[in-house]
Amino acid sequence: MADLTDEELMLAYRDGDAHAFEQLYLKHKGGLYRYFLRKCGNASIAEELFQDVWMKLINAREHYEVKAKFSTWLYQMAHNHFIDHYRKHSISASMNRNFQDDELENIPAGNNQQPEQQAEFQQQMETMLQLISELPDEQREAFLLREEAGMSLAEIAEVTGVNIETAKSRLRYAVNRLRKGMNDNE
Amino acid sequence: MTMSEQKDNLELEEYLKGNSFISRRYRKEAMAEPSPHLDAAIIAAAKKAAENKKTVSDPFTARWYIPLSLAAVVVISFSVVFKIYDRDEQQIFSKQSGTKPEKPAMMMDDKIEHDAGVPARIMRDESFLNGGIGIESESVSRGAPAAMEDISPDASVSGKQAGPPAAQTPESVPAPLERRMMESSKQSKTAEMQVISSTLEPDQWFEIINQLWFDGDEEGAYRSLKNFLAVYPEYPVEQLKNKLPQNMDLSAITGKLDKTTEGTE
Repeated sequence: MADLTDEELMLAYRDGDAHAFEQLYLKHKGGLYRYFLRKCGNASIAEELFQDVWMKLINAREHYEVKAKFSTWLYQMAHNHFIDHYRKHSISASMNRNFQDDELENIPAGNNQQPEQQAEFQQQMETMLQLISELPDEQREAFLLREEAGMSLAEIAEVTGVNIETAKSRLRYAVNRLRKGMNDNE
Repeated sequence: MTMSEQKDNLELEEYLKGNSFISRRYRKEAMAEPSPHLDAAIIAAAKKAAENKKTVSDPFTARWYIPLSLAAVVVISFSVVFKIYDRDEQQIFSKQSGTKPEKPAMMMDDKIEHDAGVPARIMRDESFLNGGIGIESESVSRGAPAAMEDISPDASVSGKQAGPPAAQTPESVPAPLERRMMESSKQSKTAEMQVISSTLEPDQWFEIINQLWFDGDEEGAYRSLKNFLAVYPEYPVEQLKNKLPQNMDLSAITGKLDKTTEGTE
C-alpha cells in the first residue's frame, strides 16, 4: 500500500478501501490546510473550507477516474471552493485576511532551542507570513501551490485556470517580493 | 528583456529547483496543521462512506449485475422476436398455401376444401354470384368458421365453387367487397356479413339474381334471393315478381326460404 501512487490510492478508496483514504489524507492534509489558512488568514474559515473539500472528495469518489494528477484534482477543487465561498459571502478574500494572529497561534516553538533562538525563530516566521499575506491573491496562490503541493508551472496554470506564462509571471513576482522582503528584514 | 527581468528569471529557475533561500526558509518554519478532532471527523466520514459502498454493492451483485441484465434483455428480445416471427409465418402460410395450420372448431365440411382448384378469379366471381355476395366460397377457401352458414345454408353448392387462395396469382387480388368479407371473417362473422349485405341496394341484388339465373345457376339464384329477403323481409312481393325472371318459381323460393329459416334458427 505504501508504494501506491496518489491516484492508485484514490482508486482503492473508490473501491471501498478506507485505509487508502487515510493514507491520502495524511499525505495531503497539511498542505491543503495551510493553502486555505494562508489564503484566507482565518483558522476557523480555513478549517471549514478544508473539511468541505475533503467531504466533496469523499462524495465524488464513486465517479473518480484518473484524468490528472490527484494533487491537481484536489487543489482544483480547493481553488474553486475557495472562490465559491467568497462569492457566496460577498466578501473579498484579501479584505477578510486577519493573517498573523490565527496563523501564529499554530506555530510551535522549536525543539531544544534557547529562548533567544526561539524569539528569532518566531520573528522570522512572522516576517515570512507577513510577506506572504501582503502578496496579491494570484501571486500568493501560485506560491502556495508551489510550496504546499509541489506543483510545476503547468500544474499551477491548470489549477488556477491560466496559461503557463501567466502562472510563471505570478510565481516570479511572488518569489522576488519575498526575497526582497526577507533581505530587508535581515 | 531587461537585466532586472533576466535576474528575476534566473532566480525563479533557482527557486523552481527547490533549493532557494525562500523555499528553505518557508519549509523550515513550523507548519500549521488541522486540528486532531477535524482529522478524526473526516476520516470517520470517509470510512462510513466506504462501508456504505461495500454494503450497497456486494461482490456478487457487482460482478453479476451487468451480465444478468444483458441476459434478461436478450431472452426477452428473443421471445418477442420469435413470437412476431411465428405469427407472421402463420399468416404467410395461411395466405400462400391456402390451408390453415390449425382447423377452427367451426370449420365447414371437408368436402368444400377438396373442391379447391378452380382459378381464383373464377372462384371469386362465381362465388360472388352463387353466394349472392360472395361470402361463402371466399370464406370456405380460407378456412373460415361455419358461422358463414348462417347466410348460406346450402354449403355444398357454394363449396363446389371454392378455388385456390387469392394470393396465388396477381389476378386473385381480392376485390374491395371481398376484401371486406375476408376481414370480416377474422372477426365477428355474422354481424359483419349482415352489415355488408345490408349495404347492397335491392336493384343490385336483383342484378345478381338475374345474372345467376341466366347463367343457369338456379341454386345460386334462389340462395341469393333468400339472402335478399333476409335483408329486406318487407319487400313487396308484386315488385319482386317484376324484378325477377318470369320463369323463376317464387313458391319454390318461399319453400326454400322457410326451410332455410328453420335451419338457421
